[in-house]
Amino acid sequence: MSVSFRSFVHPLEIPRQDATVQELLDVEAGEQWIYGQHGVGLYEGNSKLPNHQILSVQLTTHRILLLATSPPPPTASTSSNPSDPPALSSNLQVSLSDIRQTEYYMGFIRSSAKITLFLGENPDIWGDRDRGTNGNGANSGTSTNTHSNGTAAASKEDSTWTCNVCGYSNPTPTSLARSNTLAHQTPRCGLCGVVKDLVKAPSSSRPSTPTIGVTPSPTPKVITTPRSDSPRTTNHPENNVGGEGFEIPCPRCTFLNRPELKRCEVCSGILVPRGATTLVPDNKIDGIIRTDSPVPTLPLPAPIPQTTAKTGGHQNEMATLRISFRKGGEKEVYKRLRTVLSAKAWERVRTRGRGGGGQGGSAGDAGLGGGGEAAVRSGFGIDGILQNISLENKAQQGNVEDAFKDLEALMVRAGEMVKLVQTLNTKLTQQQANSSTGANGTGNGQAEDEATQTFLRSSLVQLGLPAPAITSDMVADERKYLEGLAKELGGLLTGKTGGREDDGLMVGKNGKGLVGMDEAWGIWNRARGVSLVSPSDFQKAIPLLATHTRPKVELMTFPSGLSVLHTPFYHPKIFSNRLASQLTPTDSDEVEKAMSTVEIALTEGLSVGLAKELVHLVESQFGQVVRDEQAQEQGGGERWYRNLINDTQMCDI
Amino acid sequence: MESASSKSVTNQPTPDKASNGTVSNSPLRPYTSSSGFTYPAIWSFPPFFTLQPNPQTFAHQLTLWTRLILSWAKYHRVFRIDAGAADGGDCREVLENKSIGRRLLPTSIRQLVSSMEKEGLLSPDPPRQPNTFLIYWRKPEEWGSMIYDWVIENGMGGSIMTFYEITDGDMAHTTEFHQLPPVLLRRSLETLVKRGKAQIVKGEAEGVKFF
Repeated sequence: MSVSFRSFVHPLEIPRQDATVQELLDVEAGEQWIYGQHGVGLYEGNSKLPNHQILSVQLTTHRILLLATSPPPPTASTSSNPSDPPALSSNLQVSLSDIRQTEYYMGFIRSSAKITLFLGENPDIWGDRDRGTNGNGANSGTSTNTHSNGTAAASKEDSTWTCNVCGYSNPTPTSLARSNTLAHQTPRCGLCGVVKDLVKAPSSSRPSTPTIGVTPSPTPKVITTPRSDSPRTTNHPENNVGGEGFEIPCPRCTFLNRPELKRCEVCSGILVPRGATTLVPDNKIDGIIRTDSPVPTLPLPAPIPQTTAKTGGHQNEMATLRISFRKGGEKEVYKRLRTVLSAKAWERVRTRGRGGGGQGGSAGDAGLGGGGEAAVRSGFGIDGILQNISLENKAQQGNVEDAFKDLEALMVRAGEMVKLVQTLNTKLTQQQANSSTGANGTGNGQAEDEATQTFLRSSLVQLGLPAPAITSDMVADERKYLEGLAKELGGLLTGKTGGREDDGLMVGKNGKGLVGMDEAWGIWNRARGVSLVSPSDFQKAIPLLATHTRPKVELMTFPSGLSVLHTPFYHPKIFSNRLASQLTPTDSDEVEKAMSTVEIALTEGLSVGLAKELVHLVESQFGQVVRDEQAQEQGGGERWYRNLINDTQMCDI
Repeated sequence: MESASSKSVTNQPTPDKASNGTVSNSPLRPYTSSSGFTYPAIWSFPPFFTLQPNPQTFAHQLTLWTRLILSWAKYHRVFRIDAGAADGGDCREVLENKSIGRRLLPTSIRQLVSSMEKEGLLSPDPPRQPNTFLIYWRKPEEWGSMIYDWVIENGMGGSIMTFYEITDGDMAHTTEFHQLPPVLLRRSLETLVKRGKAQIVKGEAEGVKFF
């Protein structure tokens, strides 16, 4: 069975003769122009459409527009006889949602490349074709019916014939094509080539045997609304509302339910009540054709339940429309067409439209419940999931933005804190200077004063650097920046900045002579407050550290790859010598001196891990100590001795 | 800059020269065992039984051990060492110092043995296996010329002697090669054959004819 492509190809009204493609777009629905190509012609099936041979094809996110590039022939706009199919205007549009399938033909010798569009009714479970542009809540919330009319039924009559010889069900060219080009031709069977005349009696529209490839649909469309933006020339034969006894397909599981049920028997999903379509007021029922449509339309008779003449309405019936590319460009068009089809922009718009319509309907269309259910509907199914996901995403995005706002506020505050500390610090220094110049003061009070000041200052130092942290924008070139960094870090580590003598990180009472790079970096950044220094800058500043520190702080890398900063006290050579001398027995000792790694860590004031690394380093570098691994059996890990092995000569044995 | 200089420099401490088996300023003393062999002071130094990671120290340690094993084996006339055994087989006495509770561990023994094999001081017997070795505290060439000298001195040149006569005969009791393992004896005699000074005669008991 074949459907006339005219069910899907609609004339396009053009506001002006020189209107641009952009002006034709339905901006409200979010339609966007994608691509255009000149020099195309149209075929229906295999037959040329003579009035549509010099066209340009314009691809948008929602439609394919076929625009005449030459003035339309006079016949194109005059036909208005309702019994005949009206001639199509020279400007056509095809809704992408009607495209069920596409085919691409490369062209062969003189045959141009073609794109075949298989047009069929959108198998939409909602039967809702509202595109969301219909602002009228009551109208969009309430669906209207369309019924098959005589024309469609008539064209249906002879839409197929069954070959008497081979039984193949042949599609017949539709009335339009036949009237134009194929009227004189006798059709032949597409499979065996036998002329139709040989067929004794034309088969009815319902052959007794099932036809190949076509199965009658058990699910008639229940609700349809004509496209608000694309009024049709003919009524949809497929938009058929049956009478009593029609089952309602569940929108969730597609099970066909008895009409009296409110919820699906299988999945308990809310059914779209047929009442919503049948119980609407009369003025809605027969108002399916918008009277403001510029294209001649057929007035409908009163709704007649047609249970017998199911002439269409299922997705297997497809009309074919071919676009022949006489001037090339078909590849690009086809590629973009595929992209656009897979993007399904019209679906998104429709989803939005349904939600809005639902709310409008519940307000304006009381008592029928259709609108209210439309709102509920959005909560389940893939639609609902997608909606939930997008809502969640929105909420998360909001949270993230809030969080960053907080962070920015914190940074501003932190900057203020550091400033406050600095001002306090300078004040304290002044006060100290004043009190030291002011000669007299009761000893007790002064001592107390100093203690307070020391406490204050030490807590300030904990909060930040005594001077503002140096940043790359403070100095001109990188070299100076790094030197500044090294100076600053050196001050932090040795505690000697600006003439003050404090306990630094590595020097002084609580100073650790050996500090891991990570620790130094962390403490430094804590002191810098907000203007953090990057690890790479830190590493670049390290080599300059030795020239800016007294005592020198240098970098040392252990065999394990661990890098540490060390004071001269822990220089490997000095450490090795110190360890060797510690291990050298005095005259009073009866045995060789030995120390375990833990003992070395204790005497050197290092962590066991660092002590182990350091001893291993000097062992491999200088060989002044040797290890005894078998002491492990007595507990305590490796024990270290001075190197007597090297001191023993061959002649000693 | 001073900072850059110190790391790459590896200066080993100058070893103290000491000739009496002791290291100066060390409380360690040489130890004489019941068999009369005097172990050097280093034998009582616990790290001596741990092979050292420092390559320089390690090399020196190996030469000390090699020297110690050869002199110990020579003193005790031990001809075999077993690297497959956990304690070194015939050499277990020198490889373990019970008084300080240290011993050369099997992996260390293998390292020592392979280093000595490279120097030609050990030879696997049977050949081509990694466990049992003959200790060449005298090389087969030395044994060969020693035997030849002894044969000529005793006027037995030109006559045929059995292997047993050389190592266990009446006249062999006073020689150094008394009870030399037959494998070692054969290797020694083969060096003489190569030099054209002897010929091995095959018979009921193997014999050798000296020229």
